[in-house]
Amino acid sequence: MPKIKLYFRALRFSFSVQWKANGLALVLYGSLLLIATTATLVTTRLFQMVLDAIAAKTQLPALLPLAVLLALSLVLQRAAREFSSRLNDRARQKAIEEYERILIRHTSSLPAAFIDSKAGRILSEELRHYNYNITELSVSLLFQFSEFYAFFAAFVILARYHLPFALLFLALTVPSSLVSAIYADKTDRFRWENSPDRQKASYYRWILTDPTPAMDVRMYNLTDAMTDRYTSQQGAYLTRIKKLRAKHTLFTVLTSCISGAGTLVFLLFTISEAVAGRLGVGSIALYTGYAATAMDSFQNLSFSFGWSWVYGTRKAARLFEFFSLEPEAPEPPARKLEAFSSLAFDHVRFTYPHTEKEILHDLSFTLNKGERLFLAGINGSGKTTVVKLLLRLYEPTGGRILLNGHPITEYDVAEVRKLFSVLFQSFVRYPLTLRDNVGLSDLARMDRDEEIEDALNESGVYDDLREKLPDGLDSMMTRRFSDTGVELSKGQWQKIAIARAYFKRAEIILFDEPSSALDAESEDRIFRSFSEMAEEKTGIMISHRISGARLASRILLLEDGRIAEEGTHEELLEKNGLYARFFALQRDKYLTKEGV
Amino acid sequence: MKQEKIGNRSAFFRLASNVFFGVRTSFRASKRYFILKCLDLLFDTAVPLINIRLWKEILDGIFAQEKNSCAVFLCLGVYCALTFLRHIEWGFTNYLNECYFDELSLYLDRLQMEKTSRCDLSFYDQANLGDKARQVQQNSYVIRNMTWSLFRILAALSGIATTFVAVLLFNPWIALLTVVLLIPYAIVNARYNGRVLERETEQQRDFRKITYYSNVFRNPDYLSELRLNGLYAHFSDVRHRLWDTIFQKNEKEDFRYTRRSILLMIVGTLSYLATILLSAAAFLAGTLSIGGVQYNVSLVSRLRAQLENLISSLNLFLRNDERLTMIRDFIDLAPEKEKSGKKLPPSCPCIEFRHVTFRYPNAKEDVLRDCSFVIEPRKKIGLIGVNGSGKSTLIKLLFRFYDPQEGEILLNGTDIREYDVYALRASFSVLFQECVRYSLPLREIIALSDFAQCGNDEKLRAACRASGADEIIRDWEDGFDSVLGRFYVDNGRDLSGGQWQIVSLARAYFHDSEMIILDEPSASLDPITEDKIFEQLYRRESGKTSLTISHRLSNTVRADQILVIGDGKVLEEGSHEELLAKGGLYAHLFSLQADKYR
Repeated sequence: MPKIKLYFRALRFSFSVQWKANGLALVLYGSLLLIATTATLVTTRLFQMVLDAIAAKTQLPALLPLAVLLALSLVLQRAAREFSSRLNDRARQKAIEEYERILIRHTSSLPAAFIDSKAGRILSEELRHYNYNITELSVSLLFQFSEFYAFFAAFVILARYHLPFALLFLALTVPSSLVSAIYADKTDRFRWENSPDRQKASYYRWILTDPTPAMDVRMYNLTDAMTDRYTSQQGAYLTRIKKLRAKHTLFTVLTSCISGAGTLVFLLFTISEAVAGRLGVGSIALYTGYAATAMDSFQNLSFSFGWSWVYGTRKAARLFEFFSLEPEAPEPPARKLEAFSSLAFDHVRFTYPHTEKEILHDLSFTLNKGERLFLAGINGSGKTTVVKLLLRLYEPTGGRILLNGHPITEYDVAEVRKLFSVLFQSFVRYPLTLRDNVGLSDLARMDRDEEIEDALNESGVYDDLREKLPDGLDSMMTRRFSDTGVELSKGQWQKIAIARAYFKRAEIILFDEPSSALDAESEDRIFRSFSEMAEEKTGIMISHRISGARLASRILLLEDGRIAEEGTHEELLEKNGLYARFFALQRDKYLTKEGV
Repeated sequence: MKQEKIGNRSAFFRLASNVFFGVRTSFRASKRYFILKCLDLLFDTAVPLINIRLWKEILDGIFAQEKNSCAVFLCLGVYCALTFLRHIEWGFTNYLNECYFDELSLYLDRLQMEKTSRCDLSFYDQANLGDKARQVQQNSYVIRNMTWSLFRILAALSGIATTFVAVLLFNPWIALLTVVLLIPYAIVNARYNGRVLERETEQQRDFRKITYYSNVFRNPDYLSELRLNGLYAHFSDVRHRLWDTIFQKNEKEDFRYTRRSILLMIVGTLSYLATILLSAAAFLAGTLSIGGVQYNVSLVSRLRAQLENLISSLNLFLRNDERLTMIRDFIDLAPEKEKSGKKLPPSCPCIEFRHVTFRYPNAKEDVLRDCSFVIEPRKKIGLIGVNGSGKSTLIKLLFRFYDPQEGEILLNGTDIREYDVYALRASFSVLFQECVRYSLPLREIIALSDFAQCGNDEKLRAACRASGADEIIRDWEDGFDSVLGRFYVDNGRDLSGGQWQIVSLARAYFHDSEMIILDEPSASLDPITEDKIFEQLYRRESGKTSLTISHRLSNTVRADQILVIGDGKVLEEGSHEELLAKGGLYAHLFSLQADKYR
């Protein structure tokens, strides 16, 4: 029962997608199918009449109208089929596009944690491949109707001719239809269960073909080693599916024998009737023709329905599971976000989903408007995680984050994110225009050339870049989509990402390792602009360059997900703890040798 | 005129060689299935034709005046046997198709992996080559389709040949009429096909963009920025607009074509009508049996169907031909091996750049211009320069990822082009600036630099100690077998940016060699780890040559020699003290950083 419900729900979904994408074209398609089927039946019947007429020695002028009618019916049949198949091509493209749009819309509303998980990746990759199967469910239903109609009409005529034989014939085609439906179900389950393995194989392929690891591949001559892994992974999968397939083939051949026997029995019966003089030549053509139609239609019908059933229950179940995932901010936020005044972590704990290790333990600190906060700590101490929690990409597993004194969850998440200009440690390099790369942080102002140029100047990359740009701000970055695209070094990319953060001009500036790839001059510029920005702006900087910490009004030192030290540069030096050690390590390298 | 002819001829040769390539590839992918598929095809073509013929004999046998029941029964027996066999064959065909499909895909995947990973790095810098590579990736089905459609064409051709002869025997005019009436249909189809091809080339980049925009939504790397700036609506708008524009344009063209093609198809049906009337006339005149009437009508409609089939298969074939040319261009790219010399590189040689000038393929300006310097064996070198000055490029040239346009790079006075390229690379340990975040077991991630040693725990531990990675994995229960990343396991460990850098460093150390090259090794490292790795480099690895690129000038203070790169050449050269005394660019950059610690 629940499966039937699921199937109907899938059908409904498919219809709504098709309707939205194609509207009346869908009705037209259905009608064309009916016309084509009717024309096929009529053609067979007319052919019988023509043959009988010829056999009865009808003179040509008398035969002509009948023959023309037959030709017309044939034309109608073929035109309707051709037209409906073209229409279907077009409708399919539109429906698949509509499906993709629905997936995209829903994906963008889901929590970050989901997209960043294996389950999320596999599910969203799989669902993408269902585009055809799912959208086609409703079209398949139309097809099944028309096949049923053809089958029914042909069967009625056969039954009127000889009921027991018609029934026998039908009974013998049933097993092969069953086998194909069962196989559809098994294949789908097998593919789903093995999708992690297939992903693994495709990962080895990725290593050898993607530009990202290309230098490693060439440096270490990895071709053979990776190909071997790919082959053994993929080969194992293929062997398993071949076994399943062989079993299925055995059944198919067996059932084909049965349906073949049915056809033969019917054929011999017809011939024996003809020999006995009870059937004319036209009638033989008619009955064998209708028998073929009935068998084809029945097989098409059962095959199509078998797969539809699998898609409509198994695949659609995954789709609906995806739809039922809670969106990022399920309830409309109650509180209006006023101007920013303070931000606080209140005993925050955090563990990444699917992992055991707690990254942040009982973390508390407050950031007031106008402050400059510097976050230091050894690698892996949880600095970047703080950023992710602040932006609500993940939710704390304990404690709360307060914005202006109220839990951050009470605000609209989009509003909260508008507060921040962020440079991420792993920033994105868009293979789009320079304008996109800077302006994407504030779409509304993206067409203001001057402000984009200001941001580029502020991060110090524009002088370098200006003469390389073939189309000014609208030059493409990278050669991915353009042969004249501009290629940049890592440091230059980082500066563009910084320009993007500047361009947003939000209340709080958040820089995660802004100078990791920058030369001394650029680093100096970024640090200075951080300390010299307008009073009312608030800043958070994460960096291993302790020289930057002196410019901050307060320093937090994270160690193992806790705040180990807190204070100004001078206070922490006095304390002579980890911070002082950090500072001394870096300072000594600059100063000891200089004095010599 | 003459040129056009030559153009046509070479197009023909290209087609012929593509066909040869397609068949050879499909044959090589799986000889067994290829032969089985051929046999299957033969069976598929022959049986219906034989059956039509047998059916005529059967009908004639039933309705003829004088009965030759023995022959009729024989025909009936064969007919039944063949029909039955066909039913069995249907069951096998599916199996055959699916197995062959798998084998072919595996073969093509491996071909693509082999070719892509062995061709020059510059491959990835060129959008048009990138298009080709993606063609291969997305269109490995093309080779498959090529073979499939070739089979279909052969089947159609052999079918048509036999049917045509049979129809010819009945009435040459009908045979001719059937063919002639389909010519306009063929022309319209071919024209449309050409248009589709044109369209594909024109729109290829737009479609790649659409795919890019689709992927943006699912890419975890884009996640943070997209959410921060609320970009989903923007990206979907851009994507949808692009799609709608293309679709609407194509739709108009397609509609015009459909109208025309259906009209012409109707014209093609006239031959069918003619056959009925002529057969009837022949029957009335007593020259044709009633079985013959049905035989003729079946033959003609079969001939027409086969011709239509041929037209569409040919078009599909030609469409694939264009794509196949692209794939072959890609496959014919010279592998790196071909530019490789034979000599084995000396251990710990003197490295010299002599008047090297280089620009990236398709780039407008030189990155290096007449750049010369010498690195003596076992010296510690620091490489300094502002962003975009070409530091990382130097490394790429040294490893022959690219070759300079002018000048040469020498190891002990011999041009590096004379050495075996993989041996040359293997004589260095390297940390690239961009560390790739692999989703593999830690063991494999570290051992990529010497994959044969993947199972050597001793060596893995040593590399981890040298890089500081031992601190990261100290409390991991699965040790080196822990999987990183969440690509295919849910509990894969995720590392922070700095930790990834440490793991990459472990990979560099895992590979034994006399020369170490580190590009920004401490960009994301905390001060303690940073101190440790440079301590390692300068103290413990002191017998090796090292080249370090760093923006943190404190790290190269201890170097024997510092090279300052700018404007594509070496601007300043010397020890830290010498360069400070000189008061040039280095001194300026150094004091910028040092002053902050005073």
